[in-house]
Amino acid sequence: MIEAEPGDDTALDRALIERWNAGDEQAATALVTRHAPALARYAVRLGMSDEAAELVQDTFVRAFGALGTFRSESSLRTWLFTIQRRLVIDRRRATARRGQELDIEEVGYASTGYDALDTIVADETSMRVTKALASLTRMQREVFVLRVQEGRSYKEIAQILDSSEGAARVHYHNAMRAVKEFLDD
Amino acid sequence: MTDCMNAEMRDLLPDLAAEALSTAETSRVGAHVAGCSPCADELALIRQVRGLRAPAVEIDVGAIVAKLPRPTPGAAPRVTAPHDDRGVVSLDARRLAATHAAVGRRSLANRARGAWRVAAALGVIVAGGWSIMMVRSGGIPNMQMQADSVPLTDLGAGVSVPNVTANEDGGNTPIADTSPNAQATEGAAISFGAMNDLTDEELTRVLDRLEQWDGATSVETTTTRPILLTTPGEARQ
Repeated sequence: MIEAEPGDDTALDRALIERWNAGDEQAATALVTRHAPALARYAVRLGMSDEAAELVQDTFVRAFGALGTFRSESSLRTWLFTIQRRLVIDRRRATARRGQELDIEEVGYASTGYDALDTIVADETSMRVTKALASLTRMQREVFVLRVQEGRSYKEIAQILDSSEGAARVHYHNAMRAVKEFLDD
Repeated sequence: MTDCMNAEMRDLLPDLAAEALSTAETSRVGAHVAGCSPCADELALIRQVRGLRAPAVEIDVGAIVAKLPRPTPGAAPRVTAPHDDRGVVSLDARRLAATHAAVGRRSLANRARGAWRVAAALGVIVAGGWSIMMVRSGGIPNMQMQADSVPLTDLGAGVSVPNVTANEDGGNTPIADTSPNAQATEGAAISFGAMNDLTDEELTRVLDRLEQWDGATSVETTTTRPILLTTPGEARQ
């Protein structure tokens, strides 16, 4: 289990990628150790608790298979989030095709299962905040998680969600308003 | 909980909570929050959300690393630093050349498939045109037609519409139709030779009727079938 989580240092990531390409196995270990916790957390926030570890692994395998396409104009972690999110959507589509989830419009977001089970709730207040997050729309919740819990910028969120910065900003503020209203009730 | 009207400050609150701001920005936003009750409340909420912990996920770093696709020895991609203006992590020349070669092979294969499709389409057009011309000229002496559909009764001659397939020797052979309808009308087969006995007026009527019928098949409910020239392979299907 990974406990520590190093920061999101683009220059360090770039250097590690270069070392990996030169045949340094330890560089890959360092990269996985740096980003796996955030990916696992993101998977859980997307409602994929049961498959989080597998998703993290698949994300790294896919990312390392396409390192040649990685553009360092975005951070490695943002790129990894983007890949993982697509994997989540693919899995939900596959599940929907098997008839386990019927609402195709909501594929990729529906039934994310973001509830108390996905969070270690320490007290009553945390429970209420968790429920407030669960009340958000799928897009609001995803943007809110990326902005608040993962500290991503609007530009990065737009890249991850394949959207625009303006849309990400609107979703964030709508989500914040909804959370406040939920807590005020 | 009310909202602060300073949108810029509100936008920076998550970054402040994440300690992702520069020293100067941290001071600036911090000073604002100190005097703004809505922002202070929002920052407290953000910190509370950040404090929510997801359940631990067991991740085996070694297992992940073991499954990672390895860079090709001798053709390792190089990370290009941002001095190339685009900051692109690019492949080296050899890998790019291999990629281009693969793309080129795919393009050749695609072009070959396209050529076959064009040739097949031309064949269908030529064969179809030829058959129509021959039917209109009324002369394919050895063409036998097998009735397998409802006759055009008002022609009086029991003319019906067949499926015809071309023989290798240039002749035509009726396509065996085992449908009940075909079996019921098996005895109604006629040859084009009989049409030579028709007067010009009768022949004109037949052709006119055929033209009307051919144009109407797509919109009218009819039990007749269009003239269909098929290849032997298709006929067997």
